[in-house]
Amino acid sequence: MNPHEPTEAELHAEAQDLENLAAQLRAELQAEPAFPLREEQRAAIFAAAANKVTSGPQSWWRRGSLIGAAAGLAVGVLSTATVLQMQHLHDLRTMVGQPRTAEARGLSIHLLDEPTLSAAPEEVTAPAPGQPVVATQATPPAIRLELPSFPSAPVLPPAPTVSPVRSSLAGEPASVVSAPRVDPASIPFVGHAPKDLPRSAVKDRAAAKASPTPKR
Amino acid sequence: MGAPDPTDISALLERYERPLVRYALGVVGDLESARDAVQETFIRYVRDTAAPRGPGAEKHVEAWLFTVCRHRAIDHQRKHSRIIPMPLPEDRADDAPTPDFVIAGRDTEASLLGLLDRLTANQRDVIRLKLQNDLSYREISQVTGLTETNVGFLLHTGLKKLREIIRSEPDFADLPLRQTAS
Repeated sequence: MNPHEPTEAELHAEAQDLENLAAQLRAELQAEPAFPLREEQRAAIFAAAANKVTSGPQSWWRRGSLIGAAAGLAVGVLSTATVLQMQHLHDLRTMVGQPRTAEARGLSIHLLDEPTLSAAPEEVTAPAPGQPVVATQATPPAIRLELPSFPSAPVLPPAPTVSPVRSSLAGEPASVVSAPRVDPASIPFVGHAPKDLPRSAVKDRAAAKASPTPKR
Repeated sequence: MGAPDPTDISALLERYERPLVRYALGVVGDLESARDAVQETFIRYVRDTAAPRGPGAEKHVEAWLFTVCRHRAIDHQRKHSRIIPMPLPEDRADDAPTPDFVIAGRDTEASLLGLLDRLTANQRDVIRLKLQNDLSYREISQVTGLTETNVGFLLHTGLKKLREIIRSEPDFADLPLRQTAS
């Protein structure tokens, strides 16, 4: 046994000693004078409590959670709007910048190259002798517009279909539109006469020119 | 004494006003600063939505009040460490000793309270919270931010140090504790 090691009795005595010290200290500490607040300080506390009670329901928006949620929502909306705007600007730059890039590279852009022309939807039938030239155009995909069937709504007549243009190589008059015929003699002549004009016509014009006309 | 209703500020003041002022006075050493700290503590309790209220909050109110009061008292202590107090003659209305005089004069008395100043701040804090205000180790841990083990260790070492001082100094010869120890 270590001679410096305390015995059980010594440990018990020490523990008892500390307990007595704690009890005495507790008695002295609890007998220490305890002073109240001043009256104005108590009034200030009660005023703060009354203010809190009266303004409580109206100040719900001052809660930290609500303020945080509102701030988060605002940040989210702003960031989303910024991202969408940046995407839109990027698309615009891409659309504008592509032709310039092609020109800068010296590339020629063929809008109507051979494959495009060969794949044109227009079909031209070679005319046979004595047959009218028929040019048909491939009909684009039909777009159906369905109007609501109101009883008072006027029913529009169907759009007139354009019949294929027919022209006759055998001297038949055009069946669709014929321009009015114009008599060449009715066209007034202005200027010098051509060399191959008949002599009588030249004389008539010279006489008309020499006739006295009142000067204004 | 049972814990008061946390929503009844009047009952809370009645129960904790004086213990808090006494505790803050032990921290800051100045009565007016201690009162200011306690007033700020209660106003914060009223305004702070995170303060313990509602059913079952009675157990947490005491620790919350002592925690905030301790912080406020330490703040006042830091402010007043740069201020030299000047006694005002008009404050001495009668011949009764002022609280500051009581606090300042206790070092001269052969009492255990005068010996507390020889302990470290943490030891003093733990002894006051445990022996003066009957807080549990867990509550002291919440108030001081120390672990419960550390609280027990500080309490034990503080008491042992007090006992050594009592045994070694002749000023405390008339304490019954010394007679018991010897």
